[in-house]
Amino acid sequence: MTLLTTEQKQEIATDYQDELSRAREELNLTKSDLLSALNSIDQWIEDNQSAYNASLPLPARTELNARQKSRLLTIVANKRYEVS
Amino acid sequence: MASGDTLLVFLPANNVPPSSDYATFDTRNGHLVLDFRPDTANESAIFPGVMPRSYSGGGLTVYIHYAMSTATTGDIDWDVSFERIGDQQQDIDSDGFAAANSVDNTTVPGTSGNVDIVSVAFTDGADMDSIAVGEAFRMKITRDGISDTATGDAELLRVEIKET
Repeated sequence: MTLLTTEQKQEIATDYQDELSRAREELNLTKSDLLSALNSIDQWIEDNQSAYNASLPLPARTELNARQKSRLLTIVANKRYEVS
Repeated sequence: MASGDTLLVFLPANNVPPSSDYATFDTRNGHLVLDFRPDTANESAIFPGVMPRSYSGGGLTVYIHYAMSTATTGDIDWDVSFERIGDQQQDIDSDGFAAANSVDNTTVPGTSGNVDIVSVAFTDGADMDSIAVGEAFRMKITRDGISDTATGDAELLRVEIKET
């Protein structure tokens, strides 16, 4: 997998601002602060792919393809958000 | 009436939106507001009016009352422009807004529900598209969301036009 494009990260920023605006949840970041955070998150995922893969037990490590592993990561991260 | 007097007050419900890139209606705790997006497009609202007979021919100051949906930091940019419709002055098959005047780089309130008031001044004449007393006109308010730094929607609550 590769880093997200500038346009893709802008799309995320837009969606995130829409979500917070609908909820009227305060956000003490500027647009550029938000984009910087998205850049860092994307880079962190890129830099830690190997560590994530290594953390998976067999047979998941070998039987799941890259997209399936990414999807599982988002499901777990999303659930952690929901229950936090 | 004279300088310093309120000429008109517009509410969100008075908006007659443009055909694209328009602000959208929303409510906040029972307050009707117009939401202006933070990016991707500069959204506008258009308020039609008639220049009151009490207008004595001076410049105008437009006061924009807004709150932020989410932002508690950053700045916001607003543009205001007028279109004189008048007495055989504007073919309404097309738009004829004069160049916009702006209030830029206003730090947003530190609490997202607090209403801030910013102002944009116009001199009498071409700056306000030479609108005269008793003439129909339109006023367009645009958030320059592509350039400003505050996140999330801006919510327009009121607009006041005062004779400067």
